[in-house]
Amino acid sequence: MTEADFVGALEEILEVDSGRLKPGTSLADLSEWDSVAVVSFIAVVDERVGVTLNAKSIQGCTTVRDLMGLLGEAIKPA
Amino acid sequence: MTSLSTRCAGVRIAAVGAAVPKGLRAIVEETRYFPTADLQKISESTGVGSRRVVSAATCTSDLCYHAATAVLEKAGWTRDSLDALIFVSQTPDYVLPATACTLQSRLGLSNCVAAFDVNQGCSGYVYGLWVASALMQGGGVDRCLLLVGDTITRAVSPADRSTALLFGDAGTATLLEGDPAAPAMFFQLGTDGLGAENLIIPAGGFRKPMDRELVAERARERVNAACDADLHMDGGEIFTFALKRVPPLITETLTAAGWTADDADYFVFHQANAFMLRHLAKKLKLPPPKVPIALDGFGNTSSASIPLTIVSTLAAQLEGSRRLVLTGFGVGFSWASCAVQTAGLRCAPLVEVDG
Repeated sequence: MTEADFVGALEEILEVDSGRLKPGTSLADLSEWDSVAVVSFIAVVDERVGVTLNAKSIQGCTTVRDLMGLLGEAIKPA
Repeated sequence: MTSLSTRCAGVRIAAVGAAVPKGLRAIVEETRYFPTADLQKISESTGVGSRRVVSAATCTSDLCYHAATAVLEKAGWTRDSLDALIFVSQTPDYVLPATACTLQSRLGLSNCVAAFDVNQGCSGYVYGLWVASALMQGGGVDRCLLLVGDTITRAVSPADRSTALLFGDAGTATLLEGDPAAPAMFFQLGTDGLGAENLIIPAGGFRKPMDRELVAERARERVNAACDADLHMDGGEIFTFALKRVPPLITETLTAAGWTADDADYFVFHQANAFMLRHLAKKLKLPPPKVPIALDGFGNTSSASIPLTIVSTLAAQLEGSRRLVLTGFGVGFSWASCAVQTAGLRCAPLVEVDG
């Protein structure tokens, strides 16, 4: 999965316009990033990357880049 | 192996019945604490458009009482033919005596009946089937009444976004009888107490007893908060747990029974929420028609959800022989799965109870 794929998938989960999210976007600024979004995110990562993230590690993230960081090498640069 | 593996032979599930309160509450009407946009989003994700809610005067035992009456009539069994009564719930009438004892007299069963409670939630129905079947294998118990249900809505804060809109109330009754010709039931059971804090009512037991302050806190209006007397749930952690534990559990259950996924007719999961179930079904490559989803109209009914789903969605589909995989997982963390080949399993019509 590339960085662009990841950001695009996140935009889809949050139902925001394409291009709205950047790696530096702060999660606290996104009203759409709620408990339903977190669960959807876990599901999408499980389905598309085959990794099961845990909720605690997601809670520790403050930016989109942090979320990407949880997947380590599974994310290739754009 | 991720779980304890065991089997019980010579026991047949004869009939299943369920009872729910008449009170139906639509999610989109819960605007007292939540904005409409939130309500719609949550409802779509959980699959709960409306759910059944008891009044403060009704207990799980009342719902189970009505389910028992209906199922005994459907099967044509007399009350004095029962040898054991098992009540599975996390919302009993009392800490003591066992609610099962009070139900023995309410239902007019003989005194020569073994009756006791089992404290499990999401995994409770499968635990109940296992305990009942294992006891019946020992001899002396030819007919068992298994009552399983919960009134979780009474344990939840109306202002807590993560719990207020998900649960519903129900009581169910299952009749089990000894039958040497019945195919064996295969059980997988497991536990991880490290997950205990993720689905818990912290106060009201002996670890943290109820006190005046908690009672007052509970009675106050509060916004997006729950006190220790309310149910706390971390949906994200539970989802992660389910993704980790359920797929291997299903695989091990099928292997133990000697079935492929194609051999099974239905996979009845504990109805935690529709989003999670659809994801699990997809992950396990189970065709949607084999995975009933019955959250709308009922909510997440905790221990009752598997039998309630059987009664509400599969009643017409169980004639003859059917291969069912029943899987409960959640609070504890506890999980249990069972592969059972039913024969002429009958369902009583769903009962609606006043109050």
